[in-house]
Amino acid sequence: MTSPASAVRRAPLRAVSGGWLLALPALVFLAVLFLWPLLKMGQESLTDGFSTYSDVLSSTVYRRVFWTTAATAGLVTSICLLIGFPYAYVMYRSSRTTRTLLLAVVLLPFWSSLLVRSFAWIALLQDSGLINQTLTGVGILDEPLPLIRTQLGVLVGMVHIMLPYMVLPLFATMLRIDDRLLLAATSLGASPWRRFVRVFAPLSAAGIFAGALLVFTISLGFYITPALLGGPRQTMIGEVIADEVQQFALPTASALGMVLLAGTMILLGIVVTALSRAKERTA
Amino acid sequence: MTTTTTNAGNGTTSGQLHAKGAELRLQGVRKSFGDSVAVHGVDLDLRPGEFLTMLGPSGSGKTTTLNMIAGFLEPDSGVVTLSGKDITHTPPHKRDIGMVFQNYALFPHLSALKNVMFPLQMRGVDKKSARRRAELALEMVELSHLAKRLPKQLSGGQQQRVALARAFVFEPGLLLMDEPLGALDKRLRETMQVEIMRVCREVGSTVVYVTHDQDEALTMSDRIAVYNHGYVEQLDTAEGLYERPTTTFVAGFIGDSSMLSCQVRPGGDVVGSGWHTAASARDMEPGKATLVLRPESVTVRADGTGVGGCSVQATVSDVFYLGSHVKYLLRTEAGETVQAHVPRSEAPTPFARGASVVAAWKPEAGIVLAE
Ligand SMILES: Nc1ncnc2c1ncn2[C@@H]1O[C@H](COP(=O)(O)OP(=O)(O)OP(=O)(O)O)[C@@H](O)[C@H]1O
Ligand SMILES: [Mg+2]
Repeated sequence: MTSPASAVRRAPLRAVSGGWLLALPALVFLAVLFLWPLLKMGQESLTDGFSTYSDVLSSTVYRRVFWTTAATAGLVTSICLLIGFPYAYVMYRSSRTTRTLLLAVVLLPFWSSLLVRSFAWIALLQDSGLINQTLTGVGILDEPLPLIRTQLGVLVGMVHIMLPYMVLPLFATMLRIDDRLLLAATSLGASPWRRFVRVFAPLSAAGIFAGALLVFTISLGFYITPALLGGPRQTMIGEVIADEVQQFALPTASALGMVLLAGTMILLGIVVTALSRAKERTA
Repeated sequence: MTTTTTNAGNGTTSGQLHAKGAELRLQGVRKSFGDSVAVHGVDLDLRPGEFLTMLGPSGSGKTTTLNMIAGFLEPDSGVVTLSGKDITHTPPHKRDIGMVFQNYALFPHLSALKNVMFPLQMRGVDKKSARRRAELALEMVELSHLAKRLPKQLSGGQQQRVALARAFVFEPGLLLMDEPLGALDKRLRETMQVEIMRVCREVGSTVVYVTHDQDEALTMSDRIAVYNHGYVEQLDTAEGLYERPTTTFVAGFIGDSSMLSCQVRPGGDVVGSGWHTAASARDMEPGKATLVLRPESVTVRADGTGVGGCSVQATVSDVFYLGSHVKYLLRTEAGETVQAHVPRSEAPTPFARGASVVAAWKPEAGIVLAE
């Protein structure tokens, strides 16, 4: 730290002659498998001109589905953050072995198929499922709780799947926080709680942002889980698009996809701008 | 905490933050990690406003002692008192001690100003006065113009100043600094030494400063505690350590010195290989000892004629021309090395390597230390 930290920036890529070639495989991959299909989708959505878009945007059904999708993704993100942050924090504070164990627990969902997990949740949550049977069997309840075909069911299933996407970036960011900063905060008079609020949490912000971004965007495209664990009111845009495709309404399906993409990008743009403003304000 | 904002027109722009120097006392403070003892029963007693430096080789227990004062470590035994209050078990955030870390530990997400405001806000000072006082502190370290920058946009020396301002802005009675200049180059270090001394004097806090650079210790401190293997070997002023070292470790660590092994005879005569002094160690127990000679108290002559005090026959094994003086490394017949610094004016034609000479010193210049 003898010189301005800015002096240790990476050497410019052009120092390596043709350094950008390193990114070529990924660029080709993205161009062929993402950009090209995207263009095709855009083209498809315009088969009948802009009327498809005006139909899609003026339909109350689609609008409600879009709203449900965004709200569900937002809720899943918030819940993942609420339970993922303390979890990552405990991991960060734990000894090596405990840490590995906690990591394995959070990664467990990754090691089984999404479909299997959703069916497992059905087995647990349905009216004749394990939870309700136990509760009624013991006599705590007379009627089974409506756990499945509700928003609760969808949230439980999705949070279960998305939690690792929140915990891993958070944990990685926390690991990089310099312990000495926390000691410094203490020596400057910060109680453990204020140290957490004023130093630890802001320094974890990058992880919160990365985790939230991943969880939110992936959640927007969920399809099987809401279909299996939710009711008609929990229908998400992914299901609708799949339906349209199955009914060969490709232009409508494409237009819905394009609207989802545009909406996501606008939303993210707003969030990123707001966050960088907030960061400048607190500095 | 006292803020004397109306510093009764003393004419200076700075010096408006002022702490009441605290009295710090360590009694038998001891700390071990597992089987290894890092600090063996250390006793220290600092007057209010005193600048004390802990000097010692790597791993000698300086940081461990400092961490016990700061409260990051609890001593296994012993008592730490600050202004008469026992703080041995007080949590660190309730101690009101300012600390500067070796790597500065500035909060990367906060500007220089917000960093300096931090300790004030932790003490419930309202935002407006926190800001005013932080600005004052930054002014004292001459950094007002960079208040809005983030730490990563500051140079090492500038970060150091912010860290310093942050440590004294809440006017703590005691300031702790653990090798604050360790990461800076030599030139900048010398500038910062002067700067730190000035600021500490202006603020008035008692200071405990850690370094393993002896020049830094000699320049800055009122007193120096020389650490070795978890003990304080000697606690004295720079002059006292140089003139009256009490152990060979201190003699070797502070300044240059030559060490000749010798025997103290009953009656106080000191006999070495090829030299002796009469009755110079009268109050010492007979036995093995070491004679410590500072290089500037040794003169080099062609032969023994007219030498009043002590002398030993030697050969010149190396000569260095160091501008104002000539430095000789001499080898006695017993194979011991004697260093001599002779002013150029006294050695117009220096002896060459290999020359046979006599190294001479006044009996009172030799320090005899028991083994
Ligand atoms: N947390 C710890 N666990 C185990 N041993 C430790 C710990 N901290 C310090 N020690 C040991 O205690 C001894 C004193 O360490 P300390 O950090 O106080 O030395 P120091 O004088 O500050 O050295 P330096 O000049 O290198 O900073 C060393 O032998 C060190 O290895
Ligand atoms: Mg140290």
